Amino acid sequence: MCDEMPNIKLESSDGEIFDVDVKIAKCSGTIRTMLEDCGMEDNVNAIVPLLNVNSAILRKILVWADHHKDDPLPAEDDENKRTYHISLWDADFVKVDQSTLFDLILAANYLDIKSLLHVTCKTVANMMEGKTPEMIRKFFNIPNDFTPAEKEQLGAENEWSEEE
Amino acid sequence: MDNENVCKPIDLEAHNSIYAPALEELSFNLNDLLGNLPCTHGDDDDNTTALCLPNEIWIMIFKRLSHGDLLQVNLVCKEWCQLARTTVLKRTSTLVINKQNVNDIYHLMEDSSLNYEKVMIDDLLDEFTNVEQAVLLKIFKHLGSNIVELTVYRLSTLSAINDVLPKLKELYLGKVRSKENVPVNFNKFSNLEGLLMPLYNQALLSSLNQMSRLRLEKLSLTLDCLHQGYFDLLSMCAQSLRWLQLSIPTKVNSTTLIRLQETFTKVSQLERLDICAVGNTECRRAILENLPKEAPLKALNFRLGEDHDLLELIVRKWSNSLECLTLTCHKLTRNSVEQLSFLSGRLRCLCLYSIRTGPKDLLHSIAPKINKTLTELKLNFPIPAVALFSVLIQRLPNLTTLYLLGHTSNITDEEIGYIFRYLTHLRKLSLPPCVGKNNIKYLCSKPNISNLKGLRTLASCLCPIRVLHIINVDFQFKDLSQLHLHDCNRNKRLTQMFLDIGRYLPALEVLWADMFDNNDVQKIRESCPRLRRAFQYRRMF
Repeated sequence: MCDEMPNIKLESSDGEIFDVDVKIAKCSGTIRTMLEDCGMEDNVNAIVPLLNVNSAILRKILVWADHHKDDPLPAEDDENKRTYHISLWDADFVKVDQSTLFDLILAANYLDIKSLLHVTCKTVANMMEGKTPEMIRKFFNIPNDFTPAEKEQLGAENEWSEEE
Repeated sequence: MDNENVCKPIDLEAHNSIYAPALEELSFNLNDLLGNLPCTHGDDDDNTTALCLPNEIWIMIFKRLSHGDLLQVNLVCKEWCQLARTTVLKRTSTLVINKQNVNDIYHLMEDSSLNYEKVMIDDLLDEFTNVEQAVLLKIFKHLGSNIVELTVYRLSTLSAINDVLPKLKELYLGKVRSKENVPVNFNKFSNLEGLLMPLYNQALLSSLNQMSRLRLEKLSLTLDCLHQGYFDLLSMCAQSLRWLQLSIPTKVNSTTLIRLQETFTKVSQLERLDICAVGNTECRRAILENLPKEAPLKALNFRLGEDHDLLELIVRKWSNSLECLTLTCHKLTRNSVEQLSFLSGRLRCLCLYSIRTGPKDLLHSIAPKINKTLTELKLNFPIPAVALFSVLIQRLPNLTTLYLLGHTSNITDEEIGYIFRYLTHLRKLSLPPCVGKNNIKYLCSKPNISNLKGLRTLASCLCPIRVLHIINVDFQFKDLSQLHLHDCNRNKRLTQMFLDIGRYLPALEVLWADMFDNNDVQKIRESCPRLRRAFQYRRMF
């Protein structure tokens, strides 16, 4: 089946070349724009260098793109960002260690894959849900740079705002 | 498998990278956007620090957090605190300025920026002194240019900051007293789209009537028949109105009726109409008969008296657009039940306040068959007998909000069990106190509240949570931020378990309850670190 489809080659930051179905590569807005701008969709020898994505992450991203290749394009601005449902497959896909998850976010942002960016960001947001500041710091390995006075002041500031 | 099929790594010794120029430009722009190149992660995960994600990404993540979670982000580190203050993230929260914090807010603004689009000035009970009002003005000189929504309780306060609110779109004057006589210059609010002034105030009305042009989309007011200025205001905005809340006294004269008829034929863009406070039958009829059929009415809140055929009129005119209906009446007639039944697969949200309607009619009105459209249901009914209740609940599988209101109603253990078993999508639940004649062990044998994993707001007696404690469920409500507790037969006294409530509700932010004192609050706070407000109902013994 794939024989009929034009392929393009993507090069990861560490120099590995991936031969990819154009339809799958086009999950990425960045690649889509490049292909359209250059009008080179059927140039088999073309190689697209992806300077910010290493081979391990690119391999993962291509798995994502393959699974989602027939999805409709997402609406421009999803109002219900907080409640948007994550499918079981997606939830399973992002069950990775923290640094891989962060790399996936960066790659999704760089490659402009909105659905992946949403799912990965939402996954990090879910990790923060219900946690205290101390738990969040520990979880993400963030040093506490507040003095006790600053902390108290901010605590007070938090009292000033209400959810609508 | 997927891996193999999708991407075949191949070695190419020489590649002619024809996209290079375009890509360089693109990645350059992207890097600009990102601020930093992504940091490379080595093998040792221990060094992973969250701060190597660029700020733009963190903002995307923070946007997906609740208000309560976002308040915790403020306290993590300085960088995040700054990020959380960006305007995008402040869109959902309202800064409440009062006598107690006005000086602190000013001091904070001296060395860091504060961005809010929504502000409330809460000086209803504690009026600002002249000095404090001067501080308030200074705050608004900085803050004012961002403000889109403003709530004020005194016209004098509004008048003081009148000139520094260029972006103001919505102004809430819900509690402005009718006798306060301070002029407001509405010309300064050139972007004003919404105005809520449900109480009569001559000064406000005069200020508004001086405007030559006003295109409000959202308006709440009381039509006082003696003041034609209100009709002029309504008339001026008729064609732009999308949201209207109207209150009209019961006694009206014939001029009022004629003006209502004239005005409402022009209200062609209306999406939401609240005329619950229109007590006069003829006025309701004048409004609903003259409001054009073409108006895309989505939400309607009204009261039925003897005029039950009005419901039929509504169904005839807007059954295609109507999504939310709030209906108050003494007892539904046969015809009204049929009309509601007709609407039942179309409405997303239904509030029925009709204490005399029988249980079978209730079922037929809401869910004559399985109703997957309805997500919000608020009822003020005596709860029907268990068998009917269970049918009702099972026919509403997509409910996210259920309010069972009313002092007369009590809920049995069976009914509680049905809710916890079938309505697992609930985010907001309000239960009346349980009857609780059985020992709580009986309730423990029913499906329990831990089935409602997405719950955000809960009003109930302590029993459902006590059950978790008794059967020793290891479960936490991660989103539950608001809890209203009332007492029931089984739980009149505060128990030790109540103080340790954070074990199940770690995200609790606001608590209303009876029977606790300040020491208890301290203990509850230890258990619920996010608790910001604890209110007591009036003690009743």
